[in-house]
Amino acid sequence: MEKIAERDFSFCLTCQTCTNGCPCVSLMDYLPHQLMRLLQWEKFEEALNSKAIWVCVGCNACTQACPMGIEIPEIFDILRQEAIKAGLVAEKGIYEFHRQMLLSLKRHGRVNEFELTLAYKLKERRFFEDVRLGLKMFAKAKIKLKPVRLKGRKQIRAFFEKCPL
Amino acid sequence: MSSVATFAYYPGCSLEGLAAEAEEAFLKIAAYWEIELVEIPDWNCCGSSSAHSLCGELARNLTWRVLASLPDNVSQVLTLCPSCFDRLRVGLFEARKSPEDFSNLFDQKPNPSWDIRHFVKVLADFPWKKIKGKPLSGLRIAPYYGCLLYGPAKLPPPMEDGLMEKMLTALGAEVIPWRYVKQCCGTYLSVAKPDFVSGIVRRMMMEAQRIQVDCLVTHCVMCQMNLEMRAPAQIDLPVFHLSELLALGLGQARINWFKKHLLDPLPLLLKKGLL
Repeated sequence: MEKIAERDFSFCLTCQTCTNGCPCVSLMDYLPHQLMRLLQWEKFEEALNSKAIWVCVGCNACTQACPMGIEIPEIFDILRQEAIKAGLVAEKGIYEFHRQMLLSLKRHGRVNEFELTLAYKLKERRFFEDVRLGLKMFAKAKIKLKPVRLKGRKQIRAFFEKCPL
Repeated sequence: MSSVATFAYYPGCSLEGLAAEAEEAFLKIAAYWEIELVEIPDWNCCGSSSAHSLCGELARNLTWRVLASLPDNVSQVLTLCPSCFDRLRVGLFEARKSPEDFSNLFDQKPNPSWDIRHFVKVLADFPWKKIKGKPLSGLRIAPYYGCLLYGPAKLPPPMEDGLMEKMLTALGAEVIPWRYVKQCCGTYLSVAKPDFVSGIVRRMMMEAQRIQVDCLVTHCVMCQMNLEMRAPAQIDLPVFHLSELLALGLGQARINWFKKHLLDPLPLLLKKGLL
């Protein structure tokens, strides 16, 4: 939690400009400016336990609008990583997507989107979701079945030692 | 039209599978303008949104490996994907900030001449106005940039606004300004939260229909994919890759690219006499 505690959140005016421009608010529990307020109050555990930090896709609309230029997506990156360490992942589905994406990367060195999506839907037991879409994409030859295997796979795997999935 | 520059080419994972047609089209344009591309040997995934979401050090190392794999005599990386562009720019910024860490991992120093370029900016510098005959005339287009091209805010903006518009207008297209030009498409939430992304895409498609454009065009393959996959069934508005329309304007398009679209653009192209 030190990484969060050492940052200065007093720059935030809680003016709500970030929230007004955020495309993802409909999926959030705390809104972006409310999360900034939680951090100012040092309610770190509540912040780590929020869905909002997982819902944010990092589109930077908030930062571009913020009168103080605060990079909220970067703060959320730190909060997510701390939430994993603390075992407080409030949006398991989105976390699982990132996990499957990185597992695909770890296996091949590159990401095969088809393999990733299939692994995700199976793991989440969402067997019938997007099946018709998948078949249509297959028919349009958008799906590449054979993943690439890089020569540098070993070096890439070593990067994951500090990132248990 | 002499060869202007040689680039270390980084296509990105999405271009290999989901959007092979966007890459093929880009390679046609590069050949036309005599842009020389040397693919980065054994390039790996940049980590995209997931690596920096779960593990900062992993994200950093993945982008650093790409930089460390650059061929000796080529210092400018050319990317097609705005997410790769964003991640590699952050990676380069961090390499310059902590050169010792970079050297410890990869046994070389970050090269001061390294630079990350995006194909929109690179292509916009070519003289599109010299293309004769206004080949895209009659096409009413809403340009769509998505969210990632101009970030992150801590780095200087990598390009000015309006570059897609400039190229398409030079080729004779009518480019219509609209409110969703830089709206985020919902990106990877399309997998975990498909209904949410369908909502975003529905609003955009309804607006595009209201302003009566013939099609949308985007440089981003993730946006293109989301717009096609999550479009409401009642709207049949083609979504082109920027590279496809530019190649079309240069007389270099292949019909097979358009057959891979989920929202069929062939009726529009035939109606407008563009194919």
